[in-house]
Amino acid sequence: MVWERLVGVLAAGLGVLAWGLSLDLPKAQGPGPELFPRILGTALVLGGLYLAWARSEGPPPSQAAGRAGVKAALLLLLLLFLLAPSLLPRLGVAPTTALMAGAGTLLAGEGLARALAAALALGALAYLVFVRLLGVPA
Amino acid sequence: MNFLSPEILLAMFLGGLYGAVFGALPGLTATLALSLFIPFVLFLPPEVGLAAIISLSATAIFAGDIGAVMARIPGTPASAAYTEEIHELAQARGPAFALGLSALASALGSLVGTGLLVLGSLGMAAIARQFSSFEYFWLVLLGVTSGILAAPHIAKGLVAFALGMLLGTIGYDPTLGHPRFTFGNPNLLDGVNFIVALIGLFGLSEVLFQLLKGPGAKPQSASLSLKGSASRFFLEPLRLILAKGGLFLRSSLLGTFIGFLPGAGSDFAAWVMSNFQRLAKGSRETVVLAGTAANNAAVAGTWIPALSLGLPGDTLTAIVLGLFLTLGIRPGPELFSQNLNLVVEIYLIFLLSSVLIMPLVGYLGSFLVDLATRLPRGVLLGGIAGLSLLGAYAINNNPFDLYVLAALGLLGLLLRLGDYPLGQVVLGLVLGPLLEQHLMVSMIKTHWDLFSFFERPVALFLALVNLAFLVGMAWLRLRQAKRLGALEARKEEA
Repeated sequence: MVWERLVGVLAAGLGVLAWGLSLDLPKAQGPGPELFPRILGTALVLGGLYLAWARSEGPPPSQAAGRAGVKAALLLLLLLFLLAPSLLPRLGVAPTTALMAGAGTLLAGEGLARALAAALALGALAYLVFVRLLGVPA
Repeated sequence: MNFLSPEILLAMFLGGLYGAVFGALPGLTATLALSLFIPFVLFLPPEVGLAAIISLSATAIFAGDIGAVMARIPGTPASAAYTEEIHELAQARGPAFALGLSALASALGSLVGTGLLVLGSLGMAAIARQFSSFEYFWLVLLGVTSGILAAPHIAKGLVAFALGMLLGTIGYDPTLGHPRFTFGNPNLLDGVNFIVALIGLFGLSEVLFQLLKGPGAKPQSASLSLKGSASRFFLEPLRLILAKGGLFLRSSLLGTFIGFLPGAGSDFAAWVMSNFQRLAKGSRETVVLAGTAANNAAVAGTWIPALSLGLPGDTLTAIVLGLFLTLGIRPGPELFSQNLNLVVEIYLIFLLSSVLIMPLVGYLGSFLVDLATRLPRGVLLGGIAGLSLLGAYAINNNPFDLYVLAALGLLGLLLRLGDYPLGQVVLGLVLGPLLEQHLMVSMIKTHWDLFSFFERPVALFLALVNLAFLVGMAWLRLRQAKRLGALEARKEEA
């Protein structure tokens, strides 16, 4: 399975990164703050490489995972979440939550009316429960 | 606040209903329910929040059976152990009987688990007062090894655990206070916020994963099948449980013990007990009874090391421990000496949850699930996306947490696509800093003398327990795989 191997490679890469970054950590008498990340880095490199090379045991990837429209929807939602830290101070908590709920509903294949309903419901929940009742800054 | 106060009872009831809906819908697990619920709990009094959490986690594990009964799709991994049998039972004797058996065996199993929770946690807390960093090191290591070995695929469990522990190293190191892997960003000095990580790994990644997967099956209407069926739901299953008292008790006791092992949890308990019944050529009823009693007894069992040692028994207790630390409550022996009231309240809430909430919410929850299944899938996913953003921001009111949320949502998606266990990442995130702290404190105390880890009698005993557990689990997994393989081969031949 391609994802199994890909995550294996990613884990091994993170293991190497943990080793590399731990070289810059301040040294103590005997092992210091670098010891634990290096142990984990070694486990990640060994486990990751084994999974990247070993015979796959999982099911084949689903067809949905390969469809272009689905990938675009996924990327759009991720992009929205990455934009959220900039949107939140400008729009406020409730409108950003509503935007995310509406966009998520639309990208999941529902119509505009349902997306609006989801946006309104989550926006109202954010405002009434979190902002008014629990005191989260608007 | 009295544990019978209206606020606590309402929190238990609503938490139970919420857990029932999440547990019953395939893909929406108890862990996801708890991850999205935690931001609300942070604003509630601790007793009220804990009441809702305990009721939620107990009911969600039971409610996993609703999806299995109605559509042969287990709502939670703990129900997957006996999905075939409970679905066939529903076909043969009606959904009311199958769900009733599940609800009553769950409730009574949970009651046995609660009894053992009281005895076990009080005993463990008394013993743990004598523990030093050496004993704690071996105990946390036991949690790590059992968490890895309990994963369906050991190498994937190892990688998931190591990823979680590596995430836990971001920020000040726990012994000397040097900042690590922060890339000069002050937002990362205190590390990755546990609750934000949880929402990213379970909430956002669920939305992304469901978007990729496309429309999935949903359970059929539960209410139609349960109309006018209170006696089939309550009385007939109770007769069966009383007739199979020995099996029920054995499953509950072993389930609690498996739940007690750090990292093993209710999924593992259900698999072990239902497999034992299959190997003993038990009927559908006994396989379901053993599995469902074990997985709910294990829920109480997971709280024994969590309360008395501060070690999570499973992902759910890992989340609760993270919440405890966020609220400034330190679990372990000190909790019993300094905040005994809270411990007693937890026991009482477990008791009430087992006796009253689980059967009642189980019955009512089946009707509520019917309504939830009518919600369009896209609206449900949009709702989770909105709640993920809201929950992650509400914890610190820091927009930077949303970057962490997006990054961990993507990591969670990749892990799901590769079939890596997400629960092990969360356990690693909780156990990693503890393991490093006890390792480093022990080594600094003894000037890097490795033999000191074996000098104290209890530390030596725990080191041997680690070794025995490692060998025993490897042997058990090999034996079960061989016997189940032989069983499958016999089925195919027949």
